Amino acid sequence: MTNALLRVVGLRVRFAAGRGASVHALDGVDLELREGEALGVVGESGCGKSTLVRAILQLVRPTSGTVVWLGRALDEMPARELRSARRDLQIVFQDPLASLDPRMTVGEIVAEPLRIHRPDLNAEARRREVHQMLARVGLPPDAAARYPHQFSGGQCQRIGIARAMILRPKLLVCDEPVSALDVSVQAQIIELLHDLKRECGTALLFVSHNLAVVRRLCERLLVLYLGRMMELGPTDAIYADPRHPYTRALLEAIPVPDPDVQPARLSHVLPGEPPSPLSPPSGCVFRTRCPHAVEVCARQVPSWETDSAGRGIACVRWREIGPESA
Amino acid sequence: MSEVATPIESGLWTDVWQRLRRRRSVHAAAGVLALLVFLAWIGPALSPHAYDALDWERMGAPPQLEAAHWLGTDRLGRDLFVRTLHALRLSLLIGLLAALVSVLIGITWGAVAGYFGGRVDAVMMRTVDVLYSLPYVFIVIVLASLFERGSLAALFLAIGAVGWLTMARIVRGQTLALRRREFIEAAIACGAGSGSILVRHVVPNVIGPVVVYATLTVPQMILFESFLSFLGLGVQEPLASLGSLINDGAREMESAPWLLVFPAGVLMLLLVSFSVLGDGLRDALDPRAE
Repeated sequence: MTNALLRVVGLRVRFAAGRGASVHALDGVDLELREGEALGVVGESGCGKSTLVRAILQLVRPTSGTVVWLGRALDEMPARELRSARRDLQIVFQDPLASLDPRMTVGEIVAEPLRIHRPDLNAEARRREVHQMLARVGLPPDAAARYPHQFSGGQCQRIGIARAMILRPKLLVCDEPVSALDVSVQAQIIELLHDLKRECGTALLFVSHNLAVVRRLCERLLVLYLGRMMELGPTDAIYADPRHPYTRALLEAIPVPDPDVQPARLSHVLPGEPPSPLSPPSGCVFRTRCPHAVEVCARQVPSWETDSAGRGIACVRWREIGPESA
Repeated sequence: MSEVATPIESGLWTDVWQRLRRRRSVHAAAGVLALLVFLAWIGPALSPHAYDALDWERMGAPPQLEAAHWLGTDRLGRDLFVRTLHALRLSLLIGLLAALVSVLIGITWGAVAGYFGGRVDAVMMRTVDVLYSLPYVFIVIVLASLFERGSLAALFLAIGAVGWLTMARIVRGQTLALRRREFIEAAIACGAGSGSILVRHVVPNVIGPVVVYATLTVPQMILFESFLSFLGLGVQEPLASLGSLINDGAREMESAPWLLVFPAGVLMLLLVSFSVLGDGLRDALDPRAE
């Protein structure tokens, strides 16, 4: 697709782990994001979600592969151009308080992107923009003169969102923006992101381990496991018919508030934890925990199969397993 | 509201000023310091004596009102009041200059090394290590041979050369820890350049330990100066600094205790008010300390 906003091609990130060993935090991720589209990225802890975000934003240098932004490779841009490209490429972090400079007032924090990318605005115009934005994300007008530690986690995340959205970027990357918040606050933040996305036409790359949150916000869903892509497709289709055994396990792990259903479902919960990324299993990385693993899974790295409905999957046996066999 | 979206100078620093003004201990320390500065500046003119004039009638005299030797005289009959204030002038100058050098060079050097890391860090910090490992005395002797005896320029150079090393190390350590914090990553993701991140995010966040160490530097350098003067670099008779007065006074503390008590008292007042001021400044700089 030529009008893709963001195209990630064969992205690999390897971290040195000492003694010549290395960790493939991300191994061969390909994806595409169109304007205004929302893509959810889910997976367990340590599956490379945050690395994907940081590699896309060039906060971590990819080992190989490229990130193409509006037709240009971000990793080849000179530092100066990269900085101005960041104008349309903003991020909301996981830890709301840690991502705000404790020595700056909220007004200064939210004004920072304006100061960098809109030198044409004078102090007064900046102040007006900041006040509008603070009101838009639901903060009191006196918030601008206060410091981040005087706010609750949910309010801090609103500040982070105000900073990210003040330039109305084309893409907003969210790295688990609600996982550090109370459940009631999570819902408010999700609604805020949902509204802002609609108003500004911003595309969303939304990383989370909470599937319900992703479902509310995202049209498409990517499932990662140990840095590899497992399944990709429209959110509704994946919810209705999860093809990859790992996706099924994730969906089954969503708690259901019904005591009669719950015990039966718990028997399907995946055993154990993901294997160490230092020595990933041969073949399909998921085979050690997969209820359907057979001998071929250890030998053969599953190829990425796509169908006409835009769904992709990396599993040798997905056709055999069938929709209801889990 | 005026601090919104204005440059950092008015944002952070007007708030700091407000918080500073609310502290009573800061008022007291600032008052004492202002008094000392005022006395150092105007005091010697109040007395009929000059700092190097000898009073043949009253050698080693205790404090007295007659002949206006308010704090007594030393073994040569020189007036201690005038000499102490004269010394205070010099010590203040040296202390403040050392703190200034230490803060300016130390912060810049340390923050740049810590923030960029890698080879830049290695080269910059090895330079500091080398300067550290050169013995003072060696630097002092080299400088003493280059400048004429008693030259104040050489004294300032010697103090400047060593004053910023510890500061650079402290700032670098703090910066290394800061660099991993998410708000720095957020600033990079915003598109801020390295220079602006250093000035707007790194320096304001390392300022706490910097202020504390700077207030420690002032007394350290005042004492360092007395050591240098002893070696023949810096202040020479008949000029005096607080360090050299205390040094002389200590030798005669049994026969003429006032020669030790008054200069030492002035030094103590100076140091205490500096550290109270530093303490207040550190707290005022931290928005969370309220």
